[in-house]
Amino acid sequence: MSTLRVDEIKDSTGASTALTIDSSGRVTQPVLPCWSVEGIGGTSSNNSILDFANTNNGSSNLSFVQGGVTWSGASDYKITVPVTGVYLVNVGINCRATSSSHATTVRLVKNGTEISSSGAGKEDGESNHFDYLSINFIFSLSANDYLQVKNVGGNDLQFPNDSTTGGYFNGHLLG
Amino acid sequence: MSTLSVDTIQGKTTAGSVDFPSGTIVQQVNATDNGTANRAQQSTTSTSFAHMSNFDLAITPKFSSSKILYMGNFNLFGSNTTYTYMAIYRHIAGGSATYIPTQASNGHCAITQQTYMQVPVFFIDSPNTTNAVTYKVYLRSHDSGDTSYIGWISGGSANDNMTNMIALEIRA
Repeated sequence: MSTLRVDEIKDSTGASTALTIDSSGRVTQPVLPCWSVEGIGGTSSNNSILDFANTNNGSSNLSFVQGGVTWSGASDYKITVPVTGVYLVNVGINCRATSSSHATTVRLVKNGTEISSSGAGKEDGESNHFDYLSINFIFSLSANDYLQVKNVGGNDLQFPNDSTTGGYFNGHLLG
Repeated sequence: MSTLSVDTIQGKTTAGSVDFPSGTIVQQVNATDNGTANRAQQSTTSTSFAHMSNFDLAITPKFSSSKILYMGNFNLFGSNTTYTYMAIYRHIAGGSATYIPTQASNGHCAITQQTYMQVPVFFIDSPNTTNAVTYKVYLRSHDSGDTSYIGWISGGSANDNMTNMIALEIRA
C-alpha cells in the first residue's frame, strides 16, 4: 500500500492541469473532454441531422464544450472529439411524428455513418402528442471522430416550440 | 501547494489497478462488451415475470462498496390493449436473482396501445460484492393470452431493436 499526497497533477511539461484534489478529497478534471448541446425546435426533415442549439428555438446559453471538443453549430451540428478513448454519450429527444402511421426513430451518427445499435424509437409516432426517446451509449472514438444525431424514422419529426423541451446531446470521455 | 508532473500512473501492487476517490468512475461495461450490441427480440405469454436472457448485462465490481449506475433503454410491445410490465433483477454469481424494486410495484414500467414504445430505466444499485453481477430483464403480460415483446424486430438483423444498456461502477 502506498499513498500519494498531492493537490494537483499536471502534464509532464507543466503546462496543463489534468487533475486537482482539494482538502476534502474532491477531485476535478478541468480539461476533461465533454460537451452538452441543448435545445431543438420546429421540424426535422426525414433522414436529416437534428439541429441542436437551433438559433430560433435553442437554449444555447446552456450549451458548452470543453477539453478540446468542438461543436460545429448550425453548419452541420457536429461534435468532434479531441483524443482517442472511451466515451459516454447521452441523447434525449422529445418529439412526435408528422403522421400517425410513421415511426419516431433517431440514431447516433459517427463520421457520417449511422451506428445501428444506437437507435431509439417508437413504432407508431402518433402525431397528436409528444414522446420521449433516449440513447445512452458507450463506445471507443478516435481523435477527430465526429458525432451527430439523425432522424431515421421515415418521416419528419416535430419538436415542441419550447427551447427547453426539444432535446439534448451530451457526453464525456470516460478514459 | 504541490504539483506532480507525470505521463502515466499505475498501481504499485497491480499495475492495472489504481484506487481513486469517491465519485470516480472505476469501469464501464456496455452491450457490446457483454457479447453484442444488437440483442435479438424475445417474448413471453406469461403473466409472471419471465427472464429475457438476450438482454443480460454483467459487471464485476472492483470494490465491494462501489455503486453501480445502470442505464438501459428498451423497446417493448404488447399484443393486446392491456399492459406489458418490465422489471430488472440483479443476479450475483453463486446466488439467486433479486428483484430491484426501484419503481412501480408491478415492475419498472407498463405500456399499452399495441405499438413499440421506448422505456428508459435508470437506477443506482449497491450490490456489495466483488463477484460478477448480472442485471437481467424480466417481462410479463397483464392478461393471459397476451404476448409481450422486447426488441423491435423479430428474426433477421437485430440492428433495429432500439436497445442500449450501460453499467458504470462508481467509487463510493
